[in-house]
Amino acid sequence: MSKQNLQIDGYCIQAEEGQSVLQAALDAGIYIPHLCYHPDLTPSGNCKLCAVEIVGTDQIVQSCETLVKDGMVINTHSDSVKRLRMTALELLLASHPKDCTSCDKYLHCELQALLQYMGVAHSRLREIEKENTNIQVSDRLIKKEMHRCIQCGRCVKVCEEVRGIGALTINKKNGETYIGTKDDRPLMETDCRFCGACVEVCPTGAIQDIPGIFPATGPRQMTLVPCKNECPAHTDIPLYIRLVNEKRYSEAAAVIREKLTFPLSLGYICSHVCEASCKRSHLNESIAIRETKKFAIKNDQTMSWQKHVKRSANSGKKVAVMGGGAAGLTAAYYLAKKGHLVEVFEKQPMAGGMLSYGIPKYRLPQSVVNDEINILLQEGITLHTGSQIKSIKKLQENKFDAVLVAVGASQGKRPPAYRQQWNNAMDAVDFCRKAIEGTLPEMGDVVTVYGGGNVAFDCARTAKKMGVKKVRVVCMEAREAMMADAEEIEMGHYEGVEILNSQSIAEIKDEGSTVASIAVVSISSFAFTEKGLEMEIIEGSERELETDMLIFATGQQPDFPADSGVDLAGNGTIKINQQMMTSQPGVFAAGDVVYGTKSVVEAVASGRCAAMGIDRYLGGDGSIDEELFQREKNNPSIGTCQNFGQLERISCFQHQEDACSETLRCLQCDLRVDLQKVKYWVDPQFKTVKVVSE
Amino acid sequence: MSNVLEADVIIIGGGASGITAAVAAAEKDASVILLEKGSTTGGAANMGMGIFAVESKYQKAQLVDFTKEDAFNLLMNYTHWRVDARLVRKYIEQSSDTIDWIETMGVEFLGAYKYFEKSTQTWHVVKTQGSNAPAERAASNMFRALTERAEELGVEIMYNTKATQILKDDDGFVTGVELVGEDGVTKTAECNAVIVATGGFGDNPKMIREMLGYEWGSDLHSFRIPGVQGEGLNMLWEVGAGKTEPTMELTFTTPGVTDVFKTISETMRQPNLMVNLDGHRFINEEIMNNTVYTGNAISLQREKAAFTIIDDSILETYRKTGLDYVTVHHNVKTVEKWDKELESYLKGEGIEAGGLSELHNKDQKHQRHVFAVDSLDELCEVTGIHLENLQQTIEDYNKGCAESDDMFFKKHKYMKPLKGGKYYVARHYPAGYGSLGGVKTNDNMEVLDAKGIKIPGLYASGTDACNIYGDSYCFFLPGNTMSFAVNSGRIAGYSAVDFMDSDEFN
Repeated sequence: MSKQNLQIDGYCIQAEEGQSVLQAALDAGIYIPHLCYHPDLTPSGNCKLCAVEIVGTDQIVQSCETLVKDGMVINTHSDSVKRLRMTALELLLASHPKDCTSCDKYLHCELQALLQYMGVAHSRLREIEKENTNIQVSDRLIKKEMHRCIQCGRCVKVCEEVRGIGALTINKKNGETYIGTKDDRPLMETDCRFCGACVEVCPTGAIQDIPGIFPATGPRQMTLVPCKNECPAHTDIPLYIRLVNEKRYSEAAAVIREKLTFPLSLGYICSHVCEASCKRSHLNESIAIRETKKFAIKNDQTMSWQKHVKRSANSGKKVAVMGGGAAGLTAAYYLAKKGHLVEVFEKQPMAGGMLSYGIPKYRLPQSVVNDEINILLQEGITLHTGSQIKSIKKLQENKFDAVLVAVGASQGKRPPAYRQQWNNAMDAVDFCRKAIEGTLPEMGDVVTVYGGGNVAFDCARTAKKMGVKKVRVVCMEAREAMMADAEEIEMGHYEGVEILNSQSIAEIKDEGSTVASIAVVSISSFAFTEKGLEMEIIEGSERELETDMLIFATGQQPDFPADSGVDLAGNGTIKINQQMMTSQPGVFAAGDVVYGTKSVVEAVASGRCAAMGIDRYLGGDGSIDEELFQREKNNPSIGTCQNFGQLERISCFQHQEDACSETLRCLQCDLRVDLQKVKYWVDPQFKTVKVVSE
Repeated sequence: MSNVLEADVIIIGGGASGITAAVAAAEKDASVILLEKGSTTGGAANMGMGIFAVESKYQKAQLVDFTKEDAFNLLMNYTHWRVDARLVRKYIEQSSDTIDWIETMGVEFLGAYKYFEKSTQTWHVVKTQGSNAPAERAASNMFRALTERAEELGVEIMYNTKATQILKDDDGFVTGVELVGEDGVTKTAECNAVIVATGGFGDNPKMIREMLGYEWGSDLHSFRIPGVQGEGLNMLWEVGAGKTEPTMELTFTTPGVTDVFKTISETMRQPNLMVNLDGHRFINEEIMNNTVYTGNAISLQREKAAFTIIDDSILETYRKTGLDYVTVHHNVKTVEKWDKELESYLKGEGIEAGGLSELHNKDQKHQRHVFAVDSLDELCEVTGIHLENLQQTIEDYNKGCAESDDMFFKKHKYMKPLKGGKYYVARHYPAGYGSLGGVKTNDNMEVLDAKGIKIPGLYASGTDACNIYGDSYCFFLPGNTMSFAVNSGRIAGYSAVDFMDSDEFN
């Protein structure tokens, strides 16, 4: 396309052929006020604010609609232009409410910024009271304050032109034009796909997000995509959901593997905080993201990701990793790819940490874990199993340039009153390990598990599966507040595990060193405060329950020795800086040993951070990012889909069709980030004009 | 933008005070970075109309008989000398010069105005393009001019940027600010002086509860200008700044009615019978146009609630003569929209409308605050007012209308009897424009610690440091909050540069 030279306000600037005068001016750093114009939408010239004068013709035109011509001379602020603009703005203001202070868009409102820029504060025209502002009502995702609408039409256009949906319409009633929907139906009953594009382009507070859907702080491209933002590893979830929907499983798997080691294992057992934050959960139910991931990895026929793996040349540096769990192996994998020689020391006979010794096999088959460990090891990591490191110093003496401590949190944590040892009481972490090793003692007829998280259900369901007659879970949380996944609770219940909610153990009655029974009380509330656990006990609720075995599933903690040379925090975790380095130079830490117990995906993310920190320490650039699937431009046009708002979740995929139907439900929050931001008059862009010399 | 952030002065908040401080410091050749959370400058003051000043050229031209000495004495007597007299004196002295100073930036003022009958004529309302009438939001014009002046002087304004922490060195000198930029990334900016001007905590219900004792949304319905969340005060206190007792710039409101149904609201804010839940009068309704006094009086009543009652006969008078009180900013003079607004309100329209934010729960949103009833029995039933007492009060009040108001000495012209027929009643609660004060400073706007010793390099200005009204905002000197923000910002900007030029700094 050829370049066009034109003069605006005395500045000689260059524009592309086919560009509007407005866009050419904005690109060149000359601000012309505008409101209905948006860089992603076709201009309609209805707000009249972008009026300019073509010098020599006495003609006032809308600069958004006028194409540049070579030799054009434009005046953006002649008196007649200013007069026209002022009248246009006052017309808009005649019906706009003045109570800006109760509007959440305050200080982020394009109209407010324009008032400031144009020096107009009020309309001299008669105030117009709109008649139809109450027709459109808010729903669970979109807040409508239509009395703030200035009918710029951007929302209608973005919905129609960009998204190909057309849920929003320009309606007429009582002699008044207003923005609405077809037949004034609520959005849930229209073709709306809740992509948020209308919210994004609304210049005022008329259409907004319901507060709380997105986090208040953080980079916009992250916060607007809650699943990706909440995932500790920031996996590009919307993209792989879209690829699964297109049946491109290998590509989806590649996207997943950009951030996740152990993707299939995570497909089975991930704590999926992504689903909890899913925007669709406010509408009906979240997308089955974990199941989608599992389906993609399982159906990855070509393993195309392998072709794109980034590997650096040998650095000649050596790294020792203590602990072969998710955090340690993840760090080892990326460090090996960065060209470092990595040796992993794992004290157990098998690597995998909690994946191998914590999570029961009925939830996660060992073969899945082993296969995934092997994929990582193929990068040339040396794994020593059954090998416990006693001294960090020795490792350093053995020419390791850096050491990563990723030994996990393998010690049970009990309420302070119950720390003594009974021969029929166990910590959950030991119980799970022994169950896997096949070294569990005789459990008796009645097993009580204290705790309400996934680990508690791992213990309870394992005991039940091993034939224990009566298994009960005692937990302080009410049913709906339990920490465990809903499916774990459901399965436990189905398998006959008795769940006692809102109960606390008040006393353990023993005979010698054997627990004989427990006294439980009902509680109406509890909280962990500075003073410790505080709870409201319901009077007279105490009762005694006999038990043959008592399992504490009340948490885990690291048991890293205090004399190892690295500083520990009060709770026994290792203190680290932002680079994941401990108090000892060259010694890093990651995973549960740093933050207590969290989740496998958290360990993966932590392992990635450690790899970055260690690589930087060893003189590398610290970058482990890789694009295993080459990005394509997103298609912004998502079109319509029947009953989209009502589509129900499919949690378990039997066939391809299930995967397609479920992924279709995605609101595609990431597309909103592709929409351009309108620049305010204060933008640095408008501080200097990009002039061309003749 | 470079990754190294460094300036002589960093200003937190780009509202009235912050942007003024930026211009002041930059005019004295300091390099300045201004951190603003929003996408534009001006903050809460964009909603305002003008600033207080005394002995300005406008006042001289308008023959306003009110001197700096008068203003000083008025404010000091009003506050019983419980506020910093040096700061008050300096502020009043500078105020007229500030008008001239701002005019050099291309701002025009319409003149000096009163806010209500009994107030002084100190309010310098900004002129808007093409209009010679005072208008809401007019002040936003002034902040455009200040912003452009700041840019001209090389001030770097970082929009959508939040300060998170003030940094000090081991000797207690301020060294920088930790911030989160537009990209969401945390950075550190180094500087020699920090000016905090974040506008108080009007949008922070938790701080309102803890520091002022109101439960926002039930017994307080103040403006919550989005973003004014007290971060500045918290940052200041964290680095050892001394606390003062903040107050609320009080007014009163009928939730869901004021600012939405303006005719109803204005009609129910006329000086007619006002009672509390016990059915007793507690105020000379004549002072209702002093919204601060009225807010104070309502705050003292049971459940912090009060009711104004009118009837068809009073409405009829207003239909004929117009309203007794007309406010400058709402400018509702007649009741011509009464019937339409009342019908719409009683039908439940406008519930989602402005003034009732997300923090109001469903019950609160749907709670009625204006009623049209056929008898006093019904009135008391819907409002919970004590019936027998109210009957007695109305009997006494009507007698007062015929003779004189022996109870509170209200002027006869405002004594309109309640004759029955249909009654209209509005429930009022305390409201406010936001918090005032919270951090200790001296008259250079230097922040002091609890012992009164200054923290070198640390300044606070505007609403965060606005401790000059004592327990209640002084409504007699209109334009005061914004003017204090502007003038204290100006003082802070100059002081920060003086500090860097001083021996103490080296």
